[in-house]
Amino acid sequence: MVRGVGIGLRRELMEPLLTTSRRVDWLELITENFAGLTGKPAVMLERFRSRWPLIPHGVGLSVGSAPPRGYLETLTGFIAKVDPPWFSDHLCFSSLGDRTWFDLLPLPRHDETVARVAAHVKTAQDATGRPLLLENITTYAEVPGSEYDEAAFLRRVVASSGAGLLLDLNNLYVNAVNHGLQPEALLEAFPVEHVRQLHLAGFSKDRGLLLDTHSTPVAKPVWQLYERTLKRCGPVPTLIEWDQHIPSLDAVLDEADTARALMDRFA
Amino acid sequence: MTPTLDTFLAEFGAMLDGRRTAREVESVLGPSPSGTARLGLYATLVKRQQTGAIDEFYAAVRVAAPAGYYEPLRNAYLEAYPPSHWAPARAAEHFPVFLEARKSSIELVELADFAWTRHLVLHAEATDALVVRHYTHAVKRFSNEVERDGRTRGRPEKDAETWLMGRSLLDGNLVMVEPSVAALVTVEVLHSGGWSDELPAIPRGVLLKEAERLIELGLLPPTSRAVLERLVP
Repeated sequence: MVRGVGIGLRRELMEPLLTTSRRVDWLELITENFAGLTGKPAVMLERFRSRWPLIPHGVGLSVGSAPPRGYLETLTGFIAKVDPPWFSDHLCFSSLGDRTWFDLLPLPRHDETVARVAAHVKTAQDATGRPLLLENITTYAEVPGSEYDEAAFLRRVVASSGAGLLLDLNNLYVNAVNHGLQPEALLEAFPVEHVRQLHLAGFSKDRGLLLDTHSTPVAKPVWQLYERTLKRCGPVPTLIEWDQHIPSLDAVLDEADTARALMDRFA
Repeated sequence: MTPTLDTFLAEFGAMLDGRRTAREVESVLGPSPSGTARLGLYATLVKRQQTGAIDEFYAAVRVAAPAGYYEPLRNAYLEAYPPSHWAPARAAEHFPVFLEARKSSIELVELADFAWTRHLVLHAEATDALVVRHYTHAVKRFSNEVERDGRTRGRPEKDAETWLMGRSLLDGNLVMVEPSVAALVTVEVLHSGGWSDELPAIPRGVLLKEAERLIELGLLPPTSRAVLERLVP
Protein backbone atom coordinates (compact mmCIF):
# COMPACT_ATOMS: atom_id res chain seq x y z
CA MET A 1 0.00 0.00 0.00
CA VAL A 2 1.41 3.38 -0.96
CA ARG A 3 0.10 6.28 1.07
CA GLY A 4 1.45 9.32 2.80
CA VAL A 5 4.57 11.19 1.72
CA GLY A 6 7.52 9.70 -0.11
CA ILE A 7 10.84 11.06 -1.27
CA GLY A 8 12.89 10.51 -4.40
CA LEU A 9 15.58 7.86 -4.06
CA ARG A 10 18.75 9.63 -5.15
CA ARG A 11 22.36 8.52 -4.89
CA GLU A 12 23.21 11.22 -2.34
CA LEU A 13 20.39 10.09 -0.03
CA MET A 14 20.92 6.34 -0.20
CA GLU A 15 23.33 5.82 2.68
CA PRO A 16 21.57 8.24 5.08
CA LEU A 17 18.23 6.65 4.23
CA LEU A 18 19.44 3.26 5.36
CA THR A 19 20.30 4.59 8.81
CA THR A 20 17.62 7.22 9.45
CA SER A 21 15.05 6.69 12.17
CA ARG A 22 12.76 9.35 10.72
CA ARG A 23 9.53 8.51 8.97
CA VAL A 24 9.66 7.80 5.25
CA ASP A 25 6.40 6.39 3.85
CA TRP A 26 7.61 5.28 0.42
CA LEU A 27 10.28 5.92 -2.19
CA GLU A 28 10.12 6.86 -5.82
CA LEU A 29 13.04 5.79 -7.99
CA ILE A 30 14.05 6.82 -11.47
CA THR A 31 13.28 3.77 -13.60
CA GLU A 32 16.27 4.23 -15.92
CA ASN A 33 18.70 4.23 -12.98
CA PHE A 34 17.73 0.68 -12.04
CA ALA A 35 15.78 -1.10 -14.79
CA GLY A 36 17.70 -3.87 -16.48
CA LEU A 37 20.83 -3.14 -14.48
CA THR A 38 22.74 -5.72 -12.53
CA GLY A 39 25.48 -5.18 -10.00
CA LYS A 40 25.35 -2.32 -7.51
CA PRO A 41 21.98 -0.88 -8.64
CA ALA A 42 20.37 -4.31 -8.20
CA VAL A 43 21.93 -4.71 -4.74
CA MET A 44 20.73 -1.26 -3.66
CA LEU A 45 17.28 -1.88 -5.11
CA GLU A 46 16.86 -4.99 -2.97
CA ARG A 47 17.95 -3.14 0.16
CA PHE A 48 15.37 -0.43 -0.32
CA ARG A 49 12.64 -2.75 -1.55
CA SER A 50 12.85 -4.76 1.63
CA ARG A 51 12.09 -1.65 3.70
CA TRP A 52 9.83 0.64 1.70
CA PRO A 53 7.23 0.50 -1.06
CA LEU A 54 8.91 1.61 -4.30
CA ILE A 55 7.29 3.44 -7.20
CA PRO A 56 9.17 3.49 -10.53
CA HIS A 57 9.10 6.89 -12.19
CA GLY A 58 10.48 6.91 -15.73
CA VAL A 59 11.77 9.53 -18.10
CA GLY A 60 12.25 7.28 -21.14
CA LEU A 61 8.90 5.84 -22.19
CA SER A 62 8.41 8.68 -24.69
CA VAL A 63 4.66 8.18 -25.09
CA GLY A 64 4.44 11.02 -27.58
CA SER A 65 6.73 9.38 -30.13
CA ALA A 66 7.35 5.72 -29.28
CA PRO A 67 9.25 3.83 -26.58
CA PRO A 68 12.91 3.35 -27.56
CA ARG A 69 13.99 -0.05 -28.82
CA GLY A 70 14.10 -2.57 -25.99
CA TYR A 71 12.70 -0.14 -23.45
CA LEU A 72 9.29 -1.70 -22.99
CA GLU A 73 10.72 -5.19 -22.50
CA THR A 74 13.17 -3.92 -19.88
CA LEU A 75 10.45 -1.90 -18.17
CA THR A 76 8.13 -4.89 -18.06
CA GLY A 77 10.76 -7.07 -16.39
CA PHE A 78 11.55 -4.32 -13.94
CA ILE A 79 7.92 -3.73 -12.98
CA ALA A 80 7.49 -7.45 -12.38
CA LYS A 81 10.53 -7.40 -10.09
CA VAL A 82 9.57 -4.29 -8.08
CA ASP A 83 5.86 -5.15 -8.01
CA PRO A 84 4.56 -1.59 -7.51
CA PRO A 85 0.85 -0.72 -7.40
CA TRP A 86 1.48 1.71 -10.31
CA PHE A 87 4.32 3.27 -12.24
CA SER A 88 4.70 6.63 -13.89
CA ASP A 89 6.29 8.56 -16.71
CA HIS A 90 5.74 11.90 -18.42
CA LEU A 91 3.34 13.28 -21.01
CA CYS A 92 6.08 14.17 -23.47
CA PHE A 93 8.56 12.74 -25.91
CA SER A 94 12.19 12.10 -25.04
CA SER A 95 13.43 10.03 -27.96
CA LEU A 96 12.78 9.48 -31.63
CA GLY A 97 14.05 6.44 -33.48
CA ASP A 98 17.65 5.90 -32.42
CA ARG A 99 18.06 9.35 -30.87
CA THR A 100 17.43 10.12 -27.24
CA TRP A 101 17.73 13.51 -25.56
CA PHE A 102 17.32 12.70 -21.85
CA ASP A 103 14.85 15.54 -21.57
CA LEU A 104 11.10 15.91 -21.25
CA LEU A 105 10.10 17.51 -24.51
CA PRO A 106 6.77 19.15 -25.36
CA LEU A 107 4.19 17.76 -27.74
CA PRO A 108 1.76 19.61 -29.99
CA ARG A 109 -1.61 19.41 -28.28
CA HIS A 110 -4.00 18.02 -30.84
CA ASP A 111 -6.07 14.89 -31.44
CA GLU A 112 -3.39 12.98 -33.32
CA THR A 113 -1.09 13.31 -30.29
CA VAL A 114 -3.88 12.26 -27.95
CA ALA A 115 -4.42 9.11 -30.03
CA ARG A 116 -0.67 8.36 -30.20
CA VAL A 117 -0.25 8.76 -26.45
CA ALA A 118 -3.32 6.64 -25.74
CA ALA A 119 -1.96 3.83 -27.90
CA HIS A 120 1.40 3.81 -26.10
CA VAL A 121 -0.22 3.99 -22.68
CA LYS A 122 -2.35 0.98 -23.55
CA THR A 123 0.70 -0.96 -24.76
CA ALA A 124 2.64 -0.13 -21.59
CA GLN A 125 -0.24 -0.97 -19.26
CA ASP A 126 -0.98 -4.21 -21.10
CA ALA A 127 2.68 -5.24 -21.03
CA THR A 128 3.28 -4.48 -17.37
CA GLY A 129 -0.16 -5.27 -16.01
CA ARG A 130 0.02 -2.12 -13.89
CA PRO A 131 -1.66 1.29 -14.09
CA LEU A 132 0.49 3.99 -15.65
CA LEU A 133 0.32 7.55 -14.37
CA LEU A 134 1.35 10.38 -16.68
CA GLU A 135 2.94 13.52 -15.26
CA ASN A 136 2.27 17.01 -16.59
CA ILE A 137 5.59 18.47 -17.73
CA THR A 138 6.95 21.99 -17.71
CA THR A 139 6.98 23.78 -21.04
CA TYR A 140 9.11 26.79 -21.87
CA ALA A 141 7.46 27.53 -25.20
CA GLU A 142 4.09 26.83 -26.75
CA VAL A 143 5.01 24.60 -29.66
CA PRO A 144 3.49 25.20 -33.11
CA GLY A 145 0.41 23.27 -34.08
CA SER A 146 -1.40 23.01 -30.74
CA GLU A 147 -5.17 23.09 -30.80
CA TYR A 148 -5.80 22.67 -27.06
CA ASP A 149 -4.53 24.38 -23.96
CA GLU A 150 -2.68 22.28 -21.40
CA ALA A 151 -5.70 21.47 -19.22
CA ALA A 152 -7.92 20.48 -22.15
CA PHE A 153 -5.13 18.34 -23.59
CA LEU A 154 -4.58 16.57 -20.26
CA ARG A 155 -8.29 15.96 -19.94
CA ARG A 156 -8.42 14.35 -23.39
CA VAL A 157 -5.31 12.28 -22.78
CA VAL A 158 -6.48 10.76 -19.49
CA ALA A 159 -9.97 10.16 -20.91
CA SER A 160 -8.67 8.45 -24.06
CA SER A 161 -5.78 6.53 -22.57
CA GLY A 162 -7.07 5.41 -19.21
CA ALA A 163 -3.85 6.67 -17.60
CA GLY A 164 -4.05 8.28 -14.20
CA LEU A 165 -2.59 11.71 -13.57
CA LEU A 166 0.59 12.32 -11.63
CA LEU A 167 0.06 15.99 -10.93
CA ASP A 168 3.30 17.87 -10.47
CA LEU A 169 2.30 21.07 -8.74
CA ASN A 170 5.68 22.68 -9.26
CA ASN A 171 5.36 22.07 -13.00
CA LEU A 172 1.88 23.53 -12.97
CA TYR A 173 3.14 26.63 -11.16
CA VAL A 174 6.20 27.00 -13.43
CA ASN A 175 4.01 26.76 -16.53
CA ALA A 176 1.52 29.25 -15.18
CA VAL A 177 4.24 31.82 -14.49
CA ASN A 178 6.15 31.20 -17.73
CA HIS A 179 3.03 31.44 -19.88
CA GLY A 180 1.34 34.28 -18.01
CA LEU A 181 -1.52 32.27 -16.48
CA GLN A 182 -3.07 32.18 -13.03
CA PRO A 183 -1.86 29.03 -11.21
CA GLU A 184 -5.12 28.65 -9.28
CA ALA A 185 -7.19 28.91 -12.46
CA LEU A 186 -4.95 26.40 -14.18
CA LEU A 187 -5.39 23.98 -11.28
CA GLU A 188 -9.15 24.40 -11.44
CA ALA A 189 -9.11 23.50 -15.14
CA PHE A 190 -6.93 20.38 -14.69
CA PRO A 191 -8.68 16.97 -14.55
CA VAL A 192 -7.91 16.58 -10.85
CA GLU A 193 -10.47 13.80 -10.49
CA HIS A 194 -7.86 11.60 -12.22
CA VAL A 195 -5.01 12.52 -9.83
CA ARG A 196 -3.41 9.45 -8.21
CA GLN A 197 -0.14 10.95 -7.06
CA LEU A 198 1.37 14.39 -6.50
CA HIS A 199 4.84 15.81 -6.94
CA LEU A 200 6.23 18.74 -4.99
CA ALA A 201 9.56 20.27 -5.96
CA GLY A 202 11.44 23.53 -6.34
CA PHE A 203 12.40 25.60 -9.37
CA SER A 204 15.19 27.96 -10.32
CA LYS A 205 15.17 31.19 -12.34
CA ASP A 206 17.11 31.76 -15.53
CA ARG A 207 16.74 34.49 -18.15
CA GLY A 208 13.35 35.58 -16.85
CA LEU A 209 11.95 32.04 -16.87
CA LEU A 210 11.28 29.57 -14.12
CA LEU A 211 13.08 26.28 -14.77
CA ASP A 212 11.97 22.94 -13.39
CA THR A 213 15.31 22.04 -11.85
CA HIS A 214 14.27 20.40 -8.56
CA SER A 215 17.18 22.26 -7.04
CA THR A 216 15.49 24.37 -4.37
CA PRO A 217 12.93 23.88 -1.59
CA VAL A 218 9.24 23.76 -2.46
CA ALA A 219 8.14 27.37 -2.97
CA LYS A 220 5.37 28.99 -0.93
CA PRO A 221 2.93 29.34 -3.86
CA VAL A 222 3.41 25.63 -4.61
CA TRP A 223 2.56 24.76 -1.00
CA GLN A 224 -0.59 26.84 -1.41
CA LEU A 225 -1.50 24.89 -4.55
CA TYR A 226 -0.87 21.71 -2.58
CA GLU A 227 -3.40 22.73 0.06
CA ARG A 228 -5.96 23.51 -2.63
CA THR A 229 -5.35 20.14 -4.27
CA LEU A 230 -5.68 18.25 -1.00
CA LYS A 231 -8.96 20.01 -0.35
CA ARG A 232 -10.27 18.72 -3.68
CA CYS A 233 -8.61 15.31 -3.89
CA GLY A 234 -8.07 14.25 -0.29
CA PRO A 235 -4.80 12.73 0.95
CA VAL A 236 -3.21 11.70 -2.36
CA PRO A 237 0.26 10.06 -2.08
CA THR A 238 2.76 12.88 -2.40
CA LEU A 239 6.42 12.95 -3.32
CA ILE A 240 9.10 15.46 -2.35
CA GLU A 241 11.38 15.59 -5.39
CA TRP A 242 14.99 16.81 -5.48
CA ASP A 243 17.44 16.26 -8.33
CA GLN A 244 20.12 18.95 -8.08
CA HIS A 245 21.91 20.61 -5.15
CA ILE A 246 20.34 17.88 -3.04
CA PRO A 247 20.37 18.92 0.63
CA SER A 248 20.76 16.66 3.66
CA LEU A 249 18.26 13.86 4.15
CA ASP A 250 16.95 15.72 7.20
CA ALA A 251 16.17 18.79 5.10
CA VAL A 252 14.31 16.63 2.56
CA LEU A 253 12.42 14.87 5.34
CA ASP A 254 11.53 18.22 6.92
CA GLU A 255 9.68 19.04 3.69
CA ALA A 256 8.07 15.60 3.77
CA ASP A 257 6.89 16.29 7.34
CA THR A 258 5.40 19.61 6.23
CA ALA A 259 3.53 17.85 3.43
CA ARG A 260 2.34 15.13 5.80
CA ALA A 261 1.03 17.67 8.31
CA LEU A 262 -0.98 19.35 5.55
CA MET A 263 -2.17 16.00 4.28
CA ASP A 264 -3.37 15.00 7.75
CA ARG A 265 -5.60 18.07 7.84
CA PHE A 266 -7.46 16.80 4.79
CA ALA A 267 -7.52 13.08 5.59
CA MET B 1 -2.96 23.07 -42.06
CA THR B 2 -1.66 21.53 -38.82
CA PRO B 3 1.58 19.60 -39.35
CA THR B 4 1.38 15.91 -38.52
CA LEU B 5 2.83 14.68 -35.26
CA ASP B 6 5.61 12.87 -37.11
CA THR B 7 6.56 16.05 -38.95
CA PHE B 8 6.63 17.91 -35.67
CA LEU B 9 8.84 15.28 -34.02
CA ALA B 10 11.27 15.18 -36.95
CA GLU B 11 11.60 18.96 -37.13
CA PHE B 12 11.84 19.48 -33.39
CA GLY B 13 14.39 16.67 -33.14
CA ALA B 14 16.48 18.28 -35.89
CA MET B 15 16.49 21.51 -33.88
CA LEU B 16 17.58 19.69 -30.74
CA ASP B 17 20.47 18.16 -32.66
CA GLY B 18 21.52 21.50 -34.10
CA ARG B 19 20.59 20.55 -37.67
CA ARG B 20 17.88 23.23 -37.85
CA THR B 21 17.45 26.61 -36.25
CA ALA B 22 14.26 27.47 -34.41
CA ARG B 23 13.39 29.82 -37.27
CA GLU B 24 13.80 27.03 -39.83
CA VAL B 25 11.58 24.78 -37.72
CA GLU B 26 8.94 27.51 -37.55
CA SER B 27 9.03 27.84 -41.34
CA VAL B 28 7.81 24.23 -41.53
CA LEU B 29 5.62 23.93 -38.45
CA GLY B 30 4.33 27.46 -38.15
CA PRO B 31 5.22 30.09 -35.56
CA SER B 32 5.46 29.33 -31.87
CA PRO B 33 3.00 31.52 -29.92
CA SER B 34 5.84 32.01 -27.40
CA GLY B 35 8.28 33.34 -29.98
CA THR B 36 11.28 31.93 -31.83
CA ALA B 37 13.77 32.46 -29.01
CA ARG B 38 11.70 30.54 -26.50
CA LEU B 39 11.27 27.68 -28.95
CA GLY B 40 15.03 27.61 -29.54
CA LEU B 41 15.65 27.46 -25.79
CA TYR B 42 14.94 23.73 -25.94
CA ALA B 43 18.09 23.14 -27.98
CA THR B 44 20.08 24.97 -25.31
CA LEU B 45 18.48 23.01 -22.47
CA VAL B 46 19.07 19.65 -24.17
CA LYS B 47 22.69 20.50 -24.88
CA ARG B 48 23.16 21.60 -21.28
CA GLN B 49 21.71 18.31 -20.10
CA GLN B 50 23.90 16.18 -22.34
CA THR B 51 27.15 18.04 -21.75
CA GLY B 52 26.44 18.08 -18.03
CA ALA B 53 26.07 14.31 -17.97
CA ILE B 54 29.41 13.77 -19.73
CA ASP B 55 31.11 16.39 -17.56
CA GLU B 56 29.91 14.66 -14.41
CA PHE B 57 30.89 11.21 -15.61
CA TYR B 58 34.35 12.33 -16.71
CA ALA B 59 34.96 15.02 -14.08
CA ALA B 60 38.60 13.99 -13.65
CA VAL B 61 39.28 14.24 -17.40
CA ARG B 62 37.78 17.70 -17.42
CA VAL B 63 40.00 18.85 -14.54
CA ALA B 64 43.18 17.32 -15.96
CA ALA B 65 42.74 18.61 -19.52
CA PRO B 66 44.75 21.65 -20.59
CA ALA B 67 42.84 24.94 -20.68
CA GLY B 68 40.52 25.16 -23.68
CA TYR B 69 40.95 21.50 -24.61
CA TYR B 70 38.09 19.69 -22.90
CA GLU B 71 34.91 21.47 -23.99
CA PRO B 72 35.51 21.30 -27.78
CA LEU B 73 36.54 17.68 -27.32
CA ARG B 74 33.38 16.80 -25.38
CA ASN B 75 31.21 18.65 -27.92
CA ALA B 76 32.89 16.79 -30.79
CA TYR B 77 32.30 13.54 -28.91
CA LEU B 78 28.58 14.23 -28.55
CA GLU B 79 28.40 15.02 -32.27
CA ALA B 80 30.24 11.83 -33.17
CA TYR B 81 28.31 9.70 -30.67
CA PRO B 82 24.91 11.31 -30.09
CA PRO B 83 23.07 9.56 -27.24
CA SER B 84 21.05 6.71 -28.66
CA HIS B 85 20.24 4.53 -25.66
CA TRP B 86 17.68 5.31 -23.00
CA ALA B 87 20.06 4.46 -20.14
CA PRO B 88 21.88 7.75 -19.44
CA ALA B 89 25.28 6.20 -18.65
CA ARG B 90 25.45 4.64 -22.11
CA ALA B 91 26.00 8.12 -23.53
CA ALA B 92 29.46 8.02 -21.91
CA GLU B 93 30.42 4.62 -23.29
CA HIS B 94 32.62 5.58 -26.25
CA PHE B 95 34.46 8.51 -24.70
CA PRO B 96 37.68 6.62 -23.80
CA VAL B 97 37.96 5.22 -27.34
CA PHE B 98 37.16 8.65 -28.77
CA LEU B 99 39.95 10.25 -26.75
CA GLU B 100 42.40 7.62 -27.90
CA ALA B 101 41.40 8.09 -31.53
CA ARG B 102 41.85 11.84 -31.16
CA LYS B 103 45.35 11.18 -29.81
CA SER B 104 44.62 12.81 -26.48
CA SER B 105 47.39 12.56 -23.88
CA ILE B 106 47.84 9.22 -22.19
CA GLU B 107 46.74 10.47 -18.77
CA LEU B 108 43.42 11.73 -20.18
CA VAL B 109 42.81 8.43 -21.95
CA GLU B 110 43.64 6.55 -18.75
CA LEU B 111 41.38 8.76 -16.62
CA ALA B 112 38.51 8.17 -19.05
CA ASP B 113 39.18 4.45 -19.17
CA PHE B 114 39.25 4.32 -15.38
CA ALA B 115 35.88 6.10 -15.09
CA TRP B 116 34.19 3.85 -17.65
CA THR B 117 35.76 0.64 -16.34
CA ARG B 118 34.68 1.50 -12.81
CA HIS B 119 31.13 1.98 -14.09
CA LEU B 120 31.21 -1.33 -15.94
CA VAL B 121 32.48 -3.19 -12.89
CA LEU B 122 29.83 -1.69 -10.62
CA HIS B 123 27.07 -2.59 -13.07
CA ALA B 124 28.28 -6.04 -14.05
CA GLU B 125 27.02 -9.32 -12.68
CA ALA B 126 29.28 -10.10 -9.73
CA THR B 127 30.80 -13.22 -11.19
CA ASP B 128 31.90 -11.38 -14.33
CA ALA B 129 33.08 -8.30 -12.56
CA LEU B 130 36.81 -8.84 -12.06
CA VAL B 131 38.90 -6.61 -14.29
CA VAL B 132 42.65 -6.00 -14.39
CA ARG B 133 43.85 -2.60 -15.58
CA HIS B 134 47.36 -1.24 -15.92
CA TYR B 135 47.85 2.53 -15.96
CA THR B 136 50.98 4.65 -16.30
CA HIS B 137 49.52 7.45 -14.13
CA ALA B 138 47.95 7.60 -10.68
CA VAL B 139 44.41 7.79 -12.06
CA LYS B 140 42.63 6.35 -9.03
CA ARG B 141 44.12 8.83 -6.59
CA PHE B 142 43.52 11.76 -8.94
CA SER B 143 39.92 10.73 -9.69
CA ASN B 144 39.17 10.39 -5.98
CA GLU B 145 40.62 13.82 -5.31
CA VAL B 146 38.42 15.36 -8.00
CA GLU B 147 35.22 13.49 -7.19
CA ARG B 148 35.39 13.32 -3.39
CA ASP B 149 37.60 16.23 -2.39
CA GLY B 150 36.63 18.73 -5.07
CA ARG B 151 40.09 19.08 -6.61
CA THR B 152 39.80 21.46 -9.57
CA ARG B 153 43.37 21.72 -10.91
CA GLY B 154 46.39 19.65 -11.82
CA ARG B 155 47.02 16.35 -13.52
CA PRO B 156 47.61 12.80 -12.32
CA GLU B 157 51.21 12.03 -11.44
CA LYS B 158 53.21 9.61 -13.51
CA ASP B 159 53.10 6.44 -11.46
CA ALA B 160 52.72 2.99 -13.01
CA GLU B 161 50.04 0.99 -11.26
CA THR B 162 48.02 -2.18 -11.85
CA TRP B 163 44.57 -2.62 -10.38
CA LEU B 164 42.39 -5.63 -9.84
CA MET B 165 38.87 -4.19 -9.76
CA GLY B 166 35.66 -5.90 -8.79
CA ARG B 167 32.26 -5.41 -7.23
CA SER B 168 32.24 -6.68 -3.68
CA LEU B 169 30.12 -9.75 -3.11
CA LEU B 170 29.72 -8.55 0.47
CA ASP B 171 28.27 -5.07 0.03
CA GLY B 172 28.15 -4.32 -3.71
CA ASN B 173 30.78 -1.57 -3.47
CA LEU B 174 33.78 -1.16 -5.75
CA VAL B 175 36.89 -2.95 -4.50
CA MET B 176 40.31 -2.15 -5.96
CA VAL B 177 43.53 -3.84 -4.96
CA GLU B 178 47.04 -3.70 -6.34
CA PRO B 179 47.36 -7.39 -7.05
CA SER B 180 50.42 -9.52 -6.43
CA VAL B 181 51.49 -11.95 -9.15
CA ALA B 182 50.00 -14.70 -6.99
CA ALA B 183 46.65 -12.90 -6.91
CA LEU B 184 46.65 -12.54 -10.69
CA VAL B 185 47.50 -16.23 -11.10
CA THR B 186 44.74 -17.17 -8.66
CA VAL B 187 42.17 -15.17 -10.61
CA GLU B 188 43.41 -16.55 -13.93
CA VAL B 189 43.21 -20.18 -12.75
CA LEU B 190 39.70 -19.68 -11.39
CA HIS B 191 38.61 -17.77 -14.49
CA SER B 192 39.98 -20.28 -17.01
CA GLY B 193 38.97 -23.26 -14.91
CA GLY B 194 42.35 -24.99 -15.08
CA TRP B 195 46.07 -24.83 -14.46
CA SER B 196 48.45 -23.96 -17.29
CA ASP B 197 52.17 -24.63 -17.29
CA GLU B 198 52.65 -21.20 -18.86
CA LEU B 199 51.64 -19.60 -15.57
CA PRO B 200 54.41 -18.52 -13.15
CA ALA B 201 55.40 -21.27 -10.74
CA ILE B 202 53.96 -20.19 -7.41
CA PRO B 203 53.63 -22.52 -4.42
CA ARG B 204 50.14 -23.93 -3.98
CA GLY B 205 49.92 -22.63 -0.41
CA VAL B 206 50.61 -19.07 -1.56
CA LEU B 207 47.83 -19.26 -4.13
CA LEU B 208 45.38 -20.62 -1.58
CA LYS B 209 46.28 -17.79 0.81
CA GLU B 210 45.66 -15.27 -1.99
CA ALA B 211 42.29 -16.87 -2.65
CA GLU B 212 41.42 -16.46 1.05
CA ARG B 213 42.43 -12.79 0.94
CA LEU B 214 40.34 -12.11 -2.18
CA ILE B 215 37.38 -13.93 -0.59
CA GLU B 216 37.72 -11.73 2.50
CA LEU B 217 37.68 -8.63 0.28
CA GLY B 218 34.50 -9.86 -1.39
CA LEU B 219 36.17 -10.22 -4.78
CA LEU B 220 35.74 -13.99 -4.93
CA PRO B 221 32.87 -16.19 -3.74
CA PRO B 222 33.54 -18.26 -0.59
CA THR B 223 33.67 -21.48 -2.62
CA SER B 224 36.69 -20.26 -4.60
CA ARG B 225 39.26 -21.72 -2.20
CA ALA B 226 37.85 -25.22 -2.56
CA VAL B 227 37.67 -24.81 -6.34
CA LEU B 228 41.27 -23.61 -6.45
CA GLU B 229 42.40 -26.59 -4.35
CA ARG B 230 41.06 -28.87 -7.06
CA LEU B 231 42.57 -26.90 -9.94
CA VAL B 232 46.11 -26.28 -8.69
CA PRO B 233 48.46 -29.25 -8.89
